[in-house]
Amino acid sequence: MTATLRDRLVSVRSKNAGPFTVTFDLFFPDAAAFDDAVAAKIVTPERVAELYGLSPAQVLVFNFAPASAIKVSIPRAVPGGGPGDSDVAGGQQFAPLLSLPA
Amino acid sequence: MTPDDASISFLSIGSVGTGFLESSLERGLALNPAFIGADAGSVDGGPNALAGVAPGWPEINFYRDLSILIKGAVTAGIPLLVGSCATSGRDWGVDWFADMARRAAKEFGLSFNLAKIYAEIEPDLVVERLEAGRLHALEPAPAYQAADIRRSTRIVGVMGAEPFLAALEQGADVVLAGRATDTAIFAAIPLSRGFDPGLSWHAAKIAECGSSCAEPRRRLDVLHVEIGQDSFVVQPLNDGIRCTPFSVAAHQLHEVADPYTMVEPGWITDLRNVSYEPASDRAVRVSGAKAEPAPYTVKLEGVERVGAQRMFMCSVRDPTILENLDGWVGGIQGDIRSRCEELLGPGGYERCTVTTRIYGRNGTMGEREPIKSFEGHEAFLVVDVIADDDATCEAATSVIWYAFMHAKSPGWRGGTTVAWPFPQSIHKLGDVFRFNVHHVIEVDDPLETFRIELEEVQA
Repeated sequence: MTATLRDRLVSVRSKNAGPFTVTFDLFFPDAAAFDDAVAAKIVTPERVAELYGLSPAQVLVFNFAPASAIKVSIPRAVPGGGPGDSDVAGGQQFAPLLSLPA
Repeated sequence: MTPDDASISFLSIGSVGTGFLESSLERGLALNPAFIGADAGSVDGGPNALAGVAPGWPEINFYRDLSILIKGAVTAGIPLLVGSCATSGRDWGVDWFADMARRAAKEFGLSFNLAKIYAEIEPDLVVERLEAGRLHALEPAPAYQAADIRRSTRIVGVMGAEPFLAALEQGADVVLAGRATDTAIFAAIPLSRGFDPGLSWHAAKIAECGSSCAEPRRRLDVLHVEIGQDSFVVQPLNDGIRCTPFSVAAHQLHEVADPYTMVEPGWITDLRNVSYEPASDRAVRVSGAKAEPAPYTVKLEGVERVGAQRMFMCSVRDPTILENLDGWVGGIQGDIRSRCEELLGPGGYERCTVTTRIYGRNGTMGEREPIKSFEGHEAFLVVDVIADDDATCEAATSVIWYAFMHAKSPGWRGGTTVAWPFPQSIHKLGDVFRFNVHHVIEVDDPLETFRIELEEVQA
């Protein structure tokens, strides 16, 4: 089995940031694990874009040391709760990130 | 401006409608806070609250929290600021909360000055700003031209700190506001008393969801916040949870696209150099935010009606269907189209938008599901149909449901009937809406688009 991002995380949050954006917070167990993940460039706009069928310019990635977390924000496929939506609060859209090779 | 007092403290409950412990509020009030703030809004539940379909919670949930907050604040002689009444902050929600406030006054024998702040904006004003080049898109934004604006079912402006302060200056004890930024509720009074704007806005951000910035995660409860000259300290009022530098920092990520920049009406706050340190085993001291004045804009939230919607669900256990789900769904499209035309005339089916979600495959992620193959011994389908009018929707949904029910199985000479769990197979969902704006307008004055009404509420 290839190691994945999931193996490195202790917690994940996935929420809407307003009706047009969904944001993922990926929490690492401590500062060392966070620093390792950042240095290894596991989460980049390019990799996220490929996973979700977006262009890298649509993906925001922030390294957030105070919470040993990486934040990823992407546009929602459709506005929250509108026609064609399948995840009104954006709660499950993080799952593909877990399989990023790490 | 430097503050007259060395510090100011306040209480935040998590969200009106989701509850908090009355014992925690009483503990907080014993600490002599300057005010209580409470957010009641969210767009997370989708467009229905703003559209007028239904608020996020029933009256019994809202009244329990609101009445206890009014009793606590009025008895202590401190202001209560409530933002985004009834989930969406539409005018109806402010009036509904005001009814509950009057009821609480009777129940507890309290008299107070009540301010209602209305946030709805007429489409004409938004069109005027568009034409004047004073409407600006945020990222990512839908197209928003005059026709889109006029198609809106309802538009609210999201207020900053100033309308709350104006209501207090007019003598309000209890402020029930329409749509407001979560943070304006908590930043308004510290800003007006001269506390550092960076600390005031950042403290408000951490406070917005009450004890959500504490751990372990339990039900939301009351948070105590004290802003001083160069830092602020937060702690929950329930012994079972505590704030840690991690839990508080993690809240800075909550429901924002960018954790380092906070944009609020008239202010932009830089959070890049913030530090979180333990102030005790359950309190955290936060410092380092820097706020600068910015051009004053008001963000818009708006919804438009898309059509009438019905849905049905069914499940499949037949392995021959599961081996070729796309072939099975594709095989009935011709029958659906021709039968819709029989009932609705030429183009009847094309007047509908049909969304088929196949759970077990990509029901949750839709087109964004990276795993394209299907594995499993059953699948669950949720199909919804939207048409301009409900009569068309009703006819088309009945046709589509019947076609799925008896669709030919790719692996058999005939078909198998799908399973559905309830005798009422088709569910009318009513009008369906979408958020249609992610823009700000420039305003001449922070109060320009908000209307404040004061009333004396008697016991």
